[in-house]
Amino acid sequence: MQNESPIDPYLAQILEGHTDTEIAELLNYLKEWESGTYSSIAQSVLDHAQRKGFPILRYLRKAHNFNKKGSTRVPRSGYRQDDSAVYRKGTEFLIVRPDQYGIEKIVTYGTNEE
Amino acid sequence: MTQTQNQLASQQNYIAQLLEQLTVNYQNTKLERKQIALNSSNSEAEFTPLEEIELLTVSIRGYASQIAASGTLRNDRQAIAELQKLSVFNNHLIVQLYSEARSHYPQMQSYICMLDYLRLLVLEYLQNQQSLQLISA
Repeated sequence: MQNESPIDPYLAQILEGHTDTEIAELLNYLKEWESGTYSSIAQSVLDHAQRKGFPILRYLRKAHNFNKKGSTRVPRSGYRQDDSAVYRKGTEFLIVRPDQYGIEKIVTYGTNEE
Repeated sequence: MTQTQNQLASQQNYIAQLLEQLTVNYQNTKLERKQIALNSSNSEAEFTPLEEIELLTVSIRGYASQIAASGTLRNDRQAIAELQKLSVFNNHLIVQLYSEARSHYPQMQSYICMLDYLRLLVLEYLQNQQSLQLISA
């Protein structure tokens, strides 16, 4: 008997109705995120996109395309006591935390206009 | 024991409803968030009040979403400790915004209250669940 782990229902929800190319794109974007206090990354990004009123692919694309290079970072280097840092540019912001390997993962993305 | 189980089930439903309501409340703050962003200085030394609220929102919503979906959390003891620290009134920038919100940003004031209410409800749920586990043991 095979011991397959069940697919995350939130991931299934994210991928549903997308083309193979879009699925590859979505899976690529999900790697940039952390799950935080959610059960999974998929549950987290679905909740963010819904709250902010974006279709999931558009939301993840916007977060992915956020240009850190042209932005202001707070704190300028390192992280706050809660391990977070924010990049902001215009009305957009990207809050990040480092993972166990020190790679910055997205906690949330937003604009003050959505 | 059945009474506590029923109470937990009711609380789980209520948390799910409150999450949906909070989404609507958040969307209702759109115009005020624009205004708050324009009026608050973008300090390069600290987060803005809106960024603090966003961070708090995702932390509280994450726990609440897990409970709404499955009734359990991966690490409830750690979650209780963290939720106790996440009071909106522990953050001076949010407290300041809340004071201003009384007269200028009513939707934001309502959102902040609702967010903290959700936090307290999740805490109560987890504490009731722990009591039930003690009774069952």
